[in-house]
Amino acid sequence: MFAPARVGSPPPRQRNGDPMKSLPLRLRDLCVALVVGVGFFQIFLPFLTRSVPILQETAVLLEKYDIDPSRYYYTDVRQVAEGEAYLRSALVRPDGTTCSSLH
Amino acid sequence: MSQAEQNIVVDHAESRWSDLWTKEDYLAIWLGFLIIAVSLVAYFGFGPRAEFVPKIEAAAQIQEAEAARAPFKTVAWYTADDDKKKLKASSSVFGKFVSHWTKKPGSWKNNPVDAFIRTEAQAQALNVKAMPAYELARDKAKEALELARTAEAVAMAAAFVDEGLNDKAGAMIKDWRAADKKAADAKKKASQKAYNYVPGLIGLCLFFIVIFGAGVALMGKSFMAFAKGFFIVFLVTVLAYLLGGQAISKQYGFGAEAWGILLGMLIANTVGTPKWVLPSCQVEFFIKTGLVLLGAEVLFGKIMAIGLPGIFVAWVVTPAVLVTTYILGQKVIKMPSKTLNIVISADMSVCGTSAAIATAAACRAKKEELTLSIGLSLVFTAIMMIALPAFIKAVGMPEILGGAWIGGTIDSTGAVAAAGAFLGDKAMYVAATIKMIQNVMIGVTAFCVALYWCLRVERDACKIVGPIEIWHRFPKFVLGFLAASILFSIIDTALGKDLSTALIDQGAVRGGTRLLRGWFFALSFAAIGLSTNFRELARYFKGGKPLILYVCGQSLNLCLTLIMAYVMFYLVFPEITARI
Repeated sequence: MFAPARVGSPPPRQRNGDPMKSLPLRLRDLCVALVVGVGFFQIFLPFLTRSVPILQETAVLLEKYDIDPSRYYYTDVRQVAEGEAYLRSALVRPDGTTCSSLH
Repeated sequence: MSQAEQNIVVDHAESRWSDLWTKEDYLAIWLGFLIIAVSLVAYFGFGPRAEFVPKIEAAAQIQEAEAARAPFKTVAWYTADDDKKKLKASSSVFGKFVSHWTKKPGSWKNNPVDAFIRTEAQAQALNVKAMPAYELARDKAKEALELARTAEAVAMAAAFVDEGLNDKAGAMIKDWRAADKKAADAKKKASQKAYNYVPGLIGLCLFFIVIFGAGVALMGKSFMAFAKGFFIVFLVTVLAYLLGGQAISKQYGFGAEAWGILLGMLIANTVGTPKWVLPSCQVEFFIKTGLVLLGAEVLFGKIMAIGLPGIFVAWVVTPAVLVTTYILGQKVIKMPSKTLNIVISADMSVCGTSAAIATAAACRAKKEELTLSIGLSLVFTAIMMIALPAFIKAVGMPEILGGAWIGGTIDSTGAVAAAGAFLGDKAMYVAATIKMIQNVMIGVTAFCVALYWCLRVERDACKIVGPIEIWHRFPKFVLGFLAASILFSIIDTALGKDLSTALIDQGAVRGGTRLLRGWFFALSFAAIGLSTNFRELARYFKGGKPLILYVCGQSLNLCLTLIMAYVMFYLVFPEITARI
């Protein structure tokens, strides 16, 4: 990693075949990307949330219900188990039977 | 030789016995099933099963007696139900051990250190802050319980024959349940504990090096080369979890998986991924093992959770949209890659990231195609999570219909719950349940895609593929995925709802397979990022065809799901909607 090009040897290349940039240039690119990323997530998105009422409402709801929208599978989301329990409670009679149209 | 025999493809691929211990697919199955076996033995063999059975039976007897006594669910009925819900196998010594050593960085708002370490003083401060809200909620719940008991006693005094008194008691009991839930949520916020995840993360990294390194060595690659670079892959994964746990990032649905890809790509495309890290980027091994473990969470018994309307909304519309979108992609949009087409179609119609992972692995899609599909899904999920409930509210759509629509169309389950919460508790429950039923479909989807690819896509033109060739080509890990799903579905049904919840859902899955499945997928995304080139990725997006496909497919999904939800919940089964 970061090996300097030796005289007489072909210049190091990236995996896509392009010539490898020098280390300072690559570090600059990383810093620029990090600054843009941090700016987007730490400045722009919080500003957007504060400025748009519906986004602010979302933030409050997520906090209130403790929902993580980034979770993708049902076992990762607590509200699914709660929903299942609620529907079971609502659709099944006290004696455990269900009306014929349910199943 | 007959024409049919001439058309059978000559078996190019070969299967050997040594594949069982040298091929990635089989190794993923063995590793996945080793984890499943350990979880099952720990929770069933040495776990609290014997202790749970009499408790569940006692609670069931109370519920039976109460059901015979009153025409509504009484306070005692719900108390017995709560007693059953408290039974969690993951509360055992093994469960606590596994949970402790597989912890991922937690949530935080302003200080990233909070994701790893919380001192006693910090925990105490949080508890003190949350205590007034908890005390208020607890007092309200107590008050609601007293009112419910009184109303029930009045109804009982009238021998439960006065419908007005019965309805009033039922309503009071419902109010108590709502207040009790609020108190339970408030209690959680006032019961914060101190933690330090750093030693656990170091231990977990070493554990992963051993289990995956052994697999890599069996595949004939260098264990040491894998071990050396794995620290970087693990570090990127931990950083991805850290960034995904930040409040704003979570709010926009940008989780650890997305951060893994982004961070990895950032490194790979700026300073460059060091060559010695690449042998550790075992993307397919991580994904396939994670998918075998995911099989344990694909329980077919779940599909009846909301009765027939749920089946129609989730299991009739979804495959129709999937197939139509794929055909549209091939015939009209002319997608350059069939694998990208099917991954986007499955991602958009089934359940987002998890479906994309399963389908991509089943049809051997390229990692850039998986990345692109997930990226599209993330963007549209973030938009739809806000726009769909806002639209539903604006047009005054009924809560249940809105919930079913959200559940059938928004990709990620967490975003579905968030969008449903906008409309109210009932909408959130319906939406989340519809999504759960859809989630179960990924097993069938992965199997059908793998089979279709073997039979139709990868065959030579005008040739019939023989059964041996199908076997050679078929991605074997899909069989492990399905086997895990069938095994857990059978156990789930055999144990019955309550014991299965205590031992499978709250035991072998939440206290075992799920913990590692999450890590394996996160590792695979970090590895994808570290080995992906921006330019290669951009090539797949050329002409914006993936975007057009997603938009067309999602538009169809929105229309069909709304129509089906309305027909099922309001025309065919209105009594179910009334009961919800």
